[in-house]
Amino acid sequence: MKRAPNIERALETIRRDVDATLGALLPAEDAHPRAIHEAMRYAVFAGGKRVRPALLLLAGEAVGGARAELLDAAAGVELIHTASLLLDDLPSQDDAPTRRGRPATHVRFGEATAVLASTALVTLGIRVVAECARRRRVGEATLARVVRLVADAIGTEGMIGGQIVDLEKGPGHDTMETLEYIHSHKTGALFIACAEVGARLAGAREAEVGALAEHAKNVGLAYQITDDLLDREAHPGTIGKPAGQDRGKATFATLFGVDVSRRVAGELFEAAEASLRPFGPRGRDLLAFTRWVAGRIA
Amino acid sequence: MRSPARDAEVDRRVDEVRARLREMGYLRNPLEAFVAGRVARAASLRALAEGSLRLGVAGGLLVAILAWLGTLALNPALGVTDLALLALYLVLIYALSVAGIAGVAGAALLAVTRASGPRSRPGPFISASGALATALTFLYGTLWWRWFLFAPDARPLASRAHLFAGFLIVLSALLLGRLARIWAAVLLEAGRAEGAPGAGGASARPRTREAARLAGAGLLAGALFFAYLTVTREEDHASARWAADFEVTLAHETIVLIGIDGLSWETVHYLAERGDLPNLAAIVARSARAPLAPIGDAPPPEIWTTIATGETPLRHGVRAFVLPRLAGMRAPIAVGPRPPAFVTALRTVIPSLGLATEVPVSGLTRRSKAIWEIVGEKGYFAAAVNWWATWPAAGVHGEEPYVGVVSDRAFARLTGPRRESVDLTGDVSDARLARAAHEVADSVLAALGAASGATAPGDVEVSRLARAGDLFALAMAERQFPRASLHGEGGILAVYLPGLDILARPLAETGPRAAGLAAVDARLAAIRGHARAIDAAIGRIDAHLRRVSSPPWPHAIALVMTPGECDPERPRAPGLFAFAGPGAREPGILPEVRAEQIAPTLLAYLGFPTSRAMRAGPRTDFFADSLLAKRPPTIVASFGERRLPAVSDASHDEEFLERLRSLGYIR
Repeated sequence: MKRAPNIERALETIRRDVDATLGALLPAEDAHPRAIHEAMRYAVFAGGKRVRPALLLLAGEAVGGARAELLDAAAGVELIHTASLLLDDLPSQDDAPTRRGRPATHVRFGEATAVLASTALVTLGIRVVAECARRRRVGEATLARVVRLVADAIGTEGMIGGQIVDLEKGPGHDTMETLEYIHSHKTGALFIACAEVGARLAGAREAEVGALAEHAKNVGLAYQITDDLLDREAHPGTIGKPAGQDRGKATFATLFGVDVSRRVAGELFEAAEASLRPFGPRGRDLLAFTRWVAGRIA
Repeated sequence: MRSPARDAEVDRRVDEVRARLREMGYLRNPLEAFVAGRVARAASLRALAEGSLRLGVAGGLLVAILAWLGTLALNPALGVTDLALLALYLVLIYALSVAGIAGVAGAALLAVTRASGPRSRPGPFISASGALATALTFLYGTLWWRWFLFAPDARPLASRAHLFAGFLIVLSALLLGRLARIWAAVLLEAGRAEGAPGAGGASARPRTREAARLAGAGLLAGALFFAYLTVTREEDHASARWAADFEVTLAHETIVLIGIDGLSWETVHYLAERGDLPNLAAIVARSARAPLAPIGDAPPPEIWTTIATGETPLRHGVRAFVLPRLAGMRAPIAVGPRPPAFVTALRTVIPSLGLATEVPVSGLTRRSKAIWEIVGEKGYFAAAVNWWATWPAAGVHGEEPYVGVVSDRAFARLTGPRRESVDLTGDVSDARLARAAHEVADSVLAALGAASGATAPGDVEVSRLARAGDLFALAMAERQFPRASLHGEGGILAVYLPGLDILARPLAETGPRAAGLAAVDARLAAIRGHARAIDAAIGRIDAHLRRVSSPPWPHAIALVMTPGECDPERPRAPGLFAFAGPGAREPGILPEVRAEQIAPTLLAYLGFPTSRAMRAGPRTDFFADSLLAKRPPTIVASFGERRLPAVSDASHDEEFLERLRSLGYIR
């Protein structure tokens, strides 16, 4: 797949902007109680690609939104995503000792602090998104909708639902339906929430929200399939966690093979691109972003 | 190295994963995304309604195309604007219907999913939903085809029309099945978002796919079977299509066909015995005659059009006094006898929404040629006066030769609220007849002015109009005689007299007790008086014809009488058909004759063939052997399609409707 020439530069700009916003939003490291704030900042500034904030910002821009006005919301979803990673890495969950090339938060600060930091990041994330919506004066209904979207993406209809099914499913019970459920809840739900929140805060029409949600849904699953493939093919620099960490877990690749997974991911990316056609030139950056994500396995 | 077998296996597995992902709401194409709307994201009532409407738009469009073509087949003369409007109405109606079904089914599915949790195997359920929708659409389409285009009495259509219809049915069934699958998947996805993940399901896939393939093969086989049936049936009609080219055995006779509504076999004999109808009795006595089979409860326009065309109501298309005309359309829509959902909607929902108005019966929906049109097209003298469904009046070939038509609306216009400014365009077929109509109307109204037999104030005008209408029709028929005799090659003149039926209606509707004895007595006197009046007029015509008869202008007279619509015995009471003239059988009573046999009998008498489109052949027992030897009955495939007249000024539809109301035909 052909990458848009400037997308990496654009994503770098987004990353910088989001990091700056996160820096401003998070309590200072030395603020009391220091331990938790230090853990929060440690987790957030671990060097992520800021894919979800980018999706939120580009979705908002595709419907005419201004990036500066959406940055807080973008930072908010990144806080929530980071919170989920903290929990994922816990010994009781995925038991990952490192994250993005350095000790995981619970390894560095202890499990209790990691759990508390995760909870604090979630609540801060929701508050930041809600504040952003309030400042945008989107109206009560949209504000409530946005908060609900984010809450649902976190709760049992979202990441938590996906995680519990992932933990509970016994070996040998891996089916496509189960796998899709886990992916769509652990990854897809927040992807869709990002797109919808970005669009709604930018004042999108319902049809535009639908198209962007459609796009995010396909990208979310494709992204997860791609991640699984990268894990299998051991490109630690690309995936931000120890290569082979997911070995033994059911993935599209283990269920259907690498070739099938690669092609299915490709079709999901194509479908996502097709959802952006109605946006014309305004959706160009989001299209480039989609191709950039797809390009990770190209 | 990749092997072809491995590639094929990868392809197969990709197909499988793709299909399952689509069921889960991924990889949606634009149509799927359109239908899914936001239901998959928010299963609220509003989202469900919106999704149902979207499905309705997509699905309704497909079914509307079928219905549109069916209606088009029954209404070949609709203009471009009317066709476009009709398409719009059909899409609207079917979209709402499909949306309603989708909404109800969707709400039920969501409720079940919420109550029982998400389905562990959504795939088979989704496939079953699609198969059900496909089967139902196929069934609906097939029935529609059977009733509209392929019915035994329906007009023959070209093979390719049937094949195209069959193709559309199969296509619509498959596409609606696809839409139903999308809808089921969307709803399950919405339900699934609120529940636990599915477990298993993979094992069911191959079997489901096999079932889908079998269903597809079955549909294809069914379509081919219907196509085969169509083609074999079409062979019978292949030569009939548009074929109006036939030879006529040269005839010199002119038939004067007089239709009298409101006289049964019993009544005419009763009045004749009392001496009330001396002239009619004399004509009947010198005729070969037969009871006319009871005609059930069909309305007069249907009966008399059947008599005039020899074709069944399904074919000729005249079924009632009024038809719905959709807002914006210029012509009413003719429909089959077993109306599908669209027509039911048209007759109930649409008028209540104010989107349709009722318009009076007219020639715009008569699809079959009347006997005078068949005769006139061959260059013979042909005329019709006051017969149902003859408006707008149009000469077939212009001035000469032509069909002289004084339509069933002419007298109503001459005696209506705007009579002073009536120019009769469209009401009679040419200017000479228009001038004559003005004169005749004035004279009959003047003659009846002082002699009212009515008793109630409102009754006076009705009674006067009923009687004047018949006398006007008979006088206008007489005005055609010079042309007929000038023509010299024979032909037909048909005149319809509804007066007796109209006069009897108030009695039947209010009953003698409600009307009061004096009123009943007066009404009966009026009926008897009018019977005597038309008897006298017919006697005058008969005398004239007998005077001028024998070469160069031999004539025959045919009387058709039917019991009035308000006669309680009508469904069972026979009418009368009497036929007298050169070449007719000697006087006597023959076995019962059916309404559909009259037109072919008269055509055969004139040396014309009958057509296979007609319901029955000629009753040759009404002819003398010498005539049969001279003109053996022949048959042609068809007299061709009737060229429907252009829609004339329909602004006085309401005026004629009011006249039909005042005469008691409609309420």
